[in-house]
Amino acid sequence: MKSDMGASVGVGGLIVGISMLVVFSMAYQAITLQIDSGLDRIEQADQPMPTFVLNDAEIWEGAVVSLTITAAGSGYTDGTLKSATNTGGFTGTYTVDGSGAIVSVVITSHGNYSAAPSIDIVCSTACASNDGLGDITAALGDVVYANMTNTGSVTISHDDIWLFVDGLDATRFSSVYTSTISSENWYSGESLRLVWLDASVTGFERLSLTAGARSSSIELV
Amino acid sequence: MADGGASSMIMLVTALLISGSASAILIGQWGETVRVLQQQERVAGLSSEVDVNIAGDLAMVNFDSATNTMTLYFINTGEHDLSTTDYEVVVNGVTPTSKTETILPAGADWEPGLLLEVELVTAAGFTDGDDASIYFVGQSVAIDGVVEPVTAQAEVRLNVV
Repeated sequence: MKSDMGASVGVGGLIVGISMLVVFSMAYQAITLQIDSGLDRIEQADQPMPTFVLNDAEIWEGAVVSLTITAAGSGYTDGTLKSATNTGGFTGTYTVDGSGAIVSVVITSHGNYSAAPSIDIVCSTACASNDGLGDITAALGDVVYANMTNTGSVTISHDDIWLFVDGLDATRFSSVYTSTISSENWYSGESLRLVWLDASVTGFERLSLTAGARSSSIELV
Repeated sequence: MADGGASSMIMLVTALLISGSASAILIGQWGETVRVLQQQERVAGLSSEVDVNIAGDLAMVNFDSATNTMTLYFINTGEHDLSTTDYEVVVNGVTPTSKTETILPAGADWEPGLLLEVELVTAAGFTDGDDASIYFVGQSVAIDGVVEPVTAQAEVRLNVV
């Protein structure tokens, strides 16, 4: 009789034990699922939106956007360029080859003019023997200047930023902006100065910036 | 006594077998249930990975009065490609008479971060400064066999040229 009771208790204990293992296993799987989905949602909710501000923007519709070396001349040394009237704000630099011929020009300030200015070649003291034939001509176009600041905590890739003028002309920021430090990202707190040469359209009124779901616009002055 | 011990042993083994089988079936079924739940969670999670927004200047949306053509830009702000064929844009509750789209800067797939330029020809004209309600409804491409819908809406001011 005692043996029968002992066996029954043993069988009951085993059944209860196995049942508890089953319940534990089910609970474990359910908890794992909940944790996985919970972590996914926390991760998704943790992604902040990009935030930025356009500080100011202006358009110069008579800016010097390109220079052409009409005559290279000879006997020059590396020097600077300016408008013949010394007004309007244009400045540039040029470099020469071994014979003193002008081989490259760089615009350092586009200026703003109603007509293309004559360009003066400013020699350094060492180029007094130039032949005086060097000639550089300027072409005018539009230049949009804008200052912008990343006011959020998100680092924004230049590839993810889009520019618009008057709601059109969608242009990828990275295609018109060249970082002076070769960076391809817009970091939190960083201010960028955009110099956007676009001679194709005149009469712009507004500049817009879109990054992710965020857009910001400003009047061009 | 010996008979009692033998029968108890038979009962014990039988109970173990039944309990073991029942446990295996229960755990298997529960595992299947969890897998189904995980798939449903995955589908639900897709909705937060697919998104679209109206891009550009909402206060200056171009409208060409000569051709009744409105130009809008939409940006893929999700993590998956969006369909460039299965979408519709509604202006003031009215479907345009025709629409054409271009992916910017270029390409055949509307990938995350890229723009979709949509030119809508509307039946009705607008005057400069009119406000218009834009509603975009589209969908993702198939992701693991699942297509997720996306919508975007905004009030915009038209720049009639």
